[in-house]
Amino acid sequence: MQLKAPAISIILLACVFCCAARTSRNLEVQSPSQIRPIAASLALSPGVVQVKAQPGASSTHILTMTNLTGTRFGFVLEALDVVTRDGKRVFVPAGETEGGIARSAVFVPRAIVLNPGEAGKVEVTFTIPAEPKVRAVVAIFHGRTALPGTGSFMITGSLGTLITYNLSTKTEIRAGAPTISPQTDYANLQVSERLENVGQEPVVPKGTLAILRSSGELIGRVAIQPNRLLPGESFDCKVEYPHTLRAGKYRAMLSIQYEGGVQTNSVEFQVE
Amino acid sequence: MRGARLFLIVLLLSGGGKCAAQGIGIIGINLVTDPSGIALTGSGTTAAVMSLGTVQAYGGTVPTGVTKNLNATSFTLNTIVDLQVTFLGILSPSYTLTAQLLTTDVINTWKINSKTLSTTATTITSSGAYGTTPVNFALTVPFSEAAGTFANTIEFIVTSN
Repeated sequence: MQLKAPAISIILLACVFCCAARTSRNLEVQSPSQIRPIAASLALSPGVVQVKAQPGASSTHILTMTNLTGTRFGFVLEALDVVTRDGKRVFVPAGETEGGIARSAVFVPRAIVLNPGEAGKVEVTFTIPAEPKVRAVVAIFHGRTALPGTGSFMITGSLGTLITYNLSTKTEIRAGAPTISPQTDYANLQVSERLENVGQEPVVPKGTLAILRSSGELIGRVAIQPNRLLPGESFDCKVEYPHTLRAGKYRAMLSIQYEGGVQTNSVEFQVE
Repeated sequence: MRGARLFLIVLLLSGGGKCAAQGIGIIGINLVTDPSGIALTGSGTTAAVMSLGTVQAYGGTVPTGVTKNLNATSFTLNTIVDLQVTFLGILSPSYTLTAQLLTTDVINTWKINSKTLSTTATTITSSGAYGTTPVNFALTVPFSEAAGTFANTIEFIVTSN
């Protein structure tokens, strides 16, 4: 029996998903509504690993790369530290950051070659130093497949797994004052708030925007999607209220929930 | 037996080996020809080739989907390539995209979305939206460069946020 390409892809993706479930401890149950269709030629599982540990601990992770193309692909593994500079993530080569974790990476194997339709596993072990200064690393599968062509320019795609480390309970976020972008004939009401991770550990804040009448009556709520923030990282949280508000006075309440608790801010506004 | 238990207690108290991990999602990538860009050999995979053919500052022919701009002392070739990034799962609202050259080039200037590339990874975006994203490619060649053949590879690296 010969399977056609789409059928093979679906089966492989199912296999990848099963592998992800097997290799990840305490995997979260995923809501079907939150699963987006995937049409990739390369797929890496898991995309993110969240580790809770203490300094000095080692953790081993199995990363699975699947080649869904008809071409043979080769990959070389590398670990980089992830640090925050000016509120943004930067990848730093292993060994360049004091207290980095990437320098401890041990990949088995260090490189893999995948035939069409094949999935390959790489085991990576990281050891957290006694005085760690970073809280995330990336394990990158560098695509190293040369295609024939003289005087040509090649583009290659590589994927990495982000691995974050929570090493204590010292989590804290700072939420700025919420601001309002009024609704117009062409745009919905938007409420914005700047979130900054001022703690020592990664956080994944999420929450709810509630719109209340001045009397306190709840009119509607909108879920705020989770957003990962490494220490020092900041994020402009923008939430759109998808319904039209009638003229009147209102209050927007932003309630942000994270590993260290809940922060709630509110702002009053008027719709003309 | 008692000694083994004691060892385990000491190990847990010292923190050595105490670790819990949670893996989330699957990330995927594709390089695809943009409708208004150069045709990629290998479109739909993650190793694609842009064949610019024989180009020159004055005269010559540029491939379909490529534009050439003459500057005072150089000329620039521009085109668009589509990057498809997907994430199957939750807790990853966006991705980080970096790009780098695999071979040092001290003569020509390579840019992705106006950011100059080198052999060190340059962050193109730290909040990329999952889906199809066109990326602008620009190669600036100085008039002083001798005629000849040259090649290079741009590596896109995608990680979930």
